[in-house]
Amino acid sequence: MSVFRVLTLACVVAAVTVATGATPMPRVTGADAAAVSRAAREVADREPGWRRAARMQFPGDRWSQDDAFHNVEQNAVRMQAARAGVSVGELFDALDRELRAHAGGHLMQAVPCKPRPFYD
Amino acid sequence: MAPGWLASLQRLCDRRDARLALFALLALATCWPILEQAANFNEFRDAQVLFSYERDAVASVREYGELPLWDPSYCGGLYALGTPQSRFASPFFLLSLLFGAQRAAPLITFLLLMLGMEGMFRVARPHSPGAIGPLLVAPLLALQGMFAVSYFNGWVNFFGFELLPWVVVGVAAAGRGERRGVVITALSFATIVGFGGTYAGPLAALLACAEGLAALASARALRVRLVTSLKYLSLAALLSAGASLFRLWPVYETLTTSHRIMAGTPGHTLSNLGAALTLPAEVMRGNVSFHGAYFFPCLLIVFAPFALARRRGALWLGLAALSLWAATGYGLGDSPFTWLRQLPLFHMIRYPERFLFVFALYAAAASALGLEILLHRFRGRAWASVVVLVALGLGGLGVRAEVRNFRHVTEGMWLAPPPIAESRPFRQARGNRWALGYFGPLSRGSLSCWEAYPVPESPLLRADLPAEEYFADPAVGSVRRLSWSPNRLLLDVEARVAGRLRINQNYHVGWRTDVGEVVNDAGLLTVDVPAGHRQIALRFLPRSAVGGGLAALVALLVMLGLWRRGAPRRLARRRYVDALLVSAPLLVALGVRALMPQPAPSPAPVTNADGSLALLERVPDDATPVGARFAEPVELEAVTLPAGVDDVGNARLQLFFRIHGQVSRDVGIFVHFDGRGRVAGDHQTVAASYYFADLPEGTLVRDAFSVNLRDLGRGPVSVHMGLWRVGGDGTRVPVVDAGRAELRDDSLELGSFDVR
Repeated sequence: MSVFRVLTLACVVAAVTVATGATPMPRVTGADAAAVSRAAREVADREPGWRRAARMQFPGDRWSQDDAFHNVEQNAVRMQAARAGVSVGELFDALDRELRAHAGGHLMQAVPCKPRPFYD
Repeated sequence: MAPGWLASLQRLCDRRDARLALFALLALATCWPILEQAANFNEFRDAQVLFSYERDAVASVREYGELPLWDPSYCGGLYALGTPQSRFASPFFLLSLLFGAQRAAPLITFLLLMLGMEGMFRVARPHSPGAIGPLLVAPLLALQGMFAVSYFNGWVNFFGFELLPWVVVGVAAAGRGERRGVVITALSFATIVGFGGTYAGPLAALLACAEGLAALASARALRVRLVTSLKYLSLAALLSAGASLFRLWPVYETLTTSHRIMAGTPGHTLSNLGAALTLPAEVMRGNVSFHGAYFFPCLLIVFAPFALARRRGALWLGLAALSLWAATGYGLGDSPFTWLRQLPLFHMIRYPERFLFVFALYAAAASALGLEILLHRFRGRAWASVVVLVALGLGGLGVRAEVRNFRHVTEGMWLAPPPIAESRPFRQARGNRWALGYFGPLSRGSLSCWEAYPVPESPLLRADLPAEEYFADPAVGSVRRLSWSPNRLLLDVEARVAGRLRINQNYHVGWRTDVGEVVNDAGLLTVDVPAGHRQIALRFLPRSAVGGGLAALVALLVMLGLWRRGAPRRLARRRYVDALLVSAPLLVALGVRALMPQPAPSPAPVTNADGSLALLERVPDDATPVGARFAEPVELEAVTLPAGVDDVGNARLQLFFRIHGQVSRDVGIFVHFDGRGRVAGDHQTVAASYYFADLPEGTLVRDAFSVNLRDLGRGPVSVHMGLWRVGGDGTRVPVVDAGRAELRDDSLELGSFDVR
């Protein structure tokens, strides 16, 4: 085997080794279940205001309204998660439970995807 | 300096093992930061969706032992193979299966960078007197700034662009009458298509056409019979089509059932494009700047003018100029981009700047050729050494800048720890497409949906059901889930009478049942079941997946046969054998289409942005007749004025247009709401779905839209509308008959309402 082939192989092995051995960033943990539920409720409670703002931002455009709402929601979830010391996924899961338990006042149906004709 | 070292360098550059070692080193140096971050999660919004497609596909295979045909986790369920941007239908998916979707992404990137470099070398080398130029430009193309941006955004599927040079290599070889060229073309094209090449696929077809024509033109010079060249190019096209059917067929099905309009006139000035090509990229507020988005510091371009000495060089420079022009889009008026958009496949292409990659490819090839022509002229002279040293310096500087750019951009990525995972019974959640990657690992679907096309999504989907399978009428009976996987459901059904069973996922014609009948109920997957107690199995097996998959398998066998020299050569002695071989995948697909029954997919109804139907049989009874006609063949038949504004100040207007002939492309609608000030509701697309020009004669279309009138305050608001030319001089289209409306300056006064 030529030195070049060895070098190529070494690069491939190095790439695989680095990728498979990479350590993930530490995940935030430690919040109790009550704190997680509270954080989820706080996000859920703000839905009507965010929906209203989205309706003003995209009059008559149902999908864009829903999409704009979800953008605000995900930002809030991330902030609440950081504040409450809980992972983002955990808080989204808690939000799902919260919405199921108290569905009133929340939009729980699909809003079919209809991308806008213009983005430029 | 002795010219001997140059000869050694040329020989070294031509050694494949030496080249690959260099390319591997460069790819490793480029990818090192992303390899180190392989365990972390890209939070960028597009990455959330595109990564989830790959993750869900891996989960299908690893957790359920199924092919990733149906993705239940997004938008209420979609045909995974038919979603143009998913990338799992390619050989690189094996890495995702082996290492997981997360860690495989940088490894796939690493491999594709290497492949891109080798491909570019092979594009330039056959036309260059030496190998130094091709070797120097190869990394410049493969490390182009577009790939840094693509990785940042999570567009791993955009690394399919790295395979474009291979399409050119394959077509060129096929044009020379080489069977291997047929195989390379088909394999690279199918991989691009399977890897989610929404842009790379159409561009590959363009490059193949250009190279095919060039090959035909130069056949005589290469002492290849024109017929032979034409034959092998045709074989390459046929086999490419057959080998790509596994993806083209499902994607075609998807796109023909969901109407999408790409409106607007995207364009760039030459200075914008110059900034995209010449400046390093910056990460600003979570996005990568447009300048540097196609960073291509190919200083070797100083040698490109020398390429004009050869026809091939002139061709490459011409194609580079054409690509640059195409990249301006509508920015300088018409361009190749605007012409291409008239074609069936290309009308879906939104961003003209992606032609900058094609520009880079041809510019790099011309630079390599120019350098080699110059070296050839200086053969045996000391000047040759000087030129090579300068070229090495310029090439090295360019590559260094690109590696730094890639690392700089990807180090600015918004990363997070990998999401928590929990294996539990699947159910739909409201979800969030901006953070989609968090839901799949939790065994939750996301009804919140975004895609580049209107995903057929049922409004009956819910995120608060006690069970995902249920009877529309609970009195009919009860349902219990026995087993669940993405492509297969086993249900225990107790029906007192015949009734409709609902599954909280979208309908698709590929769903089949062993009992009753699968029905499309407002886009929801439902089954009409007979009375009785029984188990019902539902499985997802669309004809396009079976036919396309079998065609791809046959294509692979044909490729193996063509690649090997023995048997095919003997076979080829018989006429038409090659043609029959490469047609086999298409014939197999046709056979499956004929033998496997499946209902025809029905297009989802086209709606306005507010969900109301766009195309109507007749004007609703509550609309006010107008009967106004314009100088274009459009009639405003009726209108429904707002009764007022809602709680946030939105007013909804409906205009009912009848089309009486072919309307010009540039006609748009202006609408003015005049109260204590003016609010405009101008728009170019009708019902947020069509240009007027797209609508056939006789069509009645409802254009329903809303505007926010908070700024007008309280009081009467009058509504005026008309048509105008969005492009060109921007003038109003004359009104030839105002009907029942008042007319002023080619603007119809439709009436007024009060804002309270």
